[in-house]
Amino acid sequence: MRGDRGEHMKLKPNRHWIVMGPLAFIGAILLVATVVLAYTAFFTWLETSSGSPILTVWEVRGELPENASVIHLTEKDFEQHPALDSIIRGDKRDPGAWYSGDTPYGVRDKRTIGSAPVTYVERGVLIESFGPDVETRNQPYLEYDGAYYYFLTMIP
Amino acid sequence: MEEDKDPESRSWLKTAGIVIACGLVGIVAVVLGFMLADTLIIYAHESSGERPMLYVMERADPGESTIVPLTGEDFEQHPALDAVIRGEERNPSAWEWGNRDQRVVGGTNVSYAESKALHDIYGPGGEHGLYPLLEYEGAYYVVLTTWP
Repeated sequence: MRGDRGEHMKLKPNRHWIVMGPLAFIGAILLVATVVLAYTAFFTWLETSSGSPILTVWEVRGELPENASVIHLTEKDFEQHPALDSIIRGDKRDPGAWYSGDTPYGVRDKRTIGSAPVTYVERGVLIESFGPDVETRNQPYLEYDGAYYYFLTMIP
Repeated sequence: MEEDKDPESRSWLKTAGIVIACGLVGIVAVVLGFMLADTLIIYAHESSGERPMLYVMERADPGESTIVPLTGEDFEQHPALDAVIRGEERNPSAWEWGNRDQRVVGGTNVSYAESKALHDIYGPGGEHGLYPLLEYEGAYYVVLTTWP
């Protein structure tokens, strides 16, 4: 009898553990996951609310200077720079009216083609690929389908 | 005397055992929690329809950065890196645009999971957050990933 009662007494806390143990385990997993998700969401929100760089493309017309540097855009270029693709020939293309204004090549006839938000990495990669030569300030013309473009990126 | 000591030390051992077991289970729960959160974040991004990009830049001068040699194993484990550095996605720009000491070698679309993996392995590290330079056949590369 005594032994029986002893075992009975022991079983009670054991059963308690069998139920509470896994519940606490799952609770801890969910708590950590929730904290991590909230932390990530908060920082993503902070990053996006401060804004991303904006890429704007202009088209220029008229005679090109003799020593002009021209980069002929290829399919591969568009594939590797989706933002440029969407502005020059995609859904972000929205050409404005022609006007005479300042360009990196002096005062020329130009029109805006479109803008798109880009990440800082994309901005850096675009400048390294087609941007102005930092040393000489020489900016290449980007040629596609007979039209000449240049771009600028604006940081918020 | 012995009868008294024995149950005492046994109960002490039992308590220590329970504490250690709870601690271990707690650590496992925390690790699983991090893994669950990571999986959910990547799943949410993958279903957003956007695709991250992998870009590789080449540096003319290694400077003071840490240099890590790229091996066949790196290319095997990351086919996207292979395609950009020595495959069909190689599309180098001219050195003169942007900074003259670096150029873009190429880029390709990757999944969010791949973008994260590449960033974790080849992304900035150390106290100054410097990108390690990857050396392959005498050229120095930097791996950049986007997270749209």
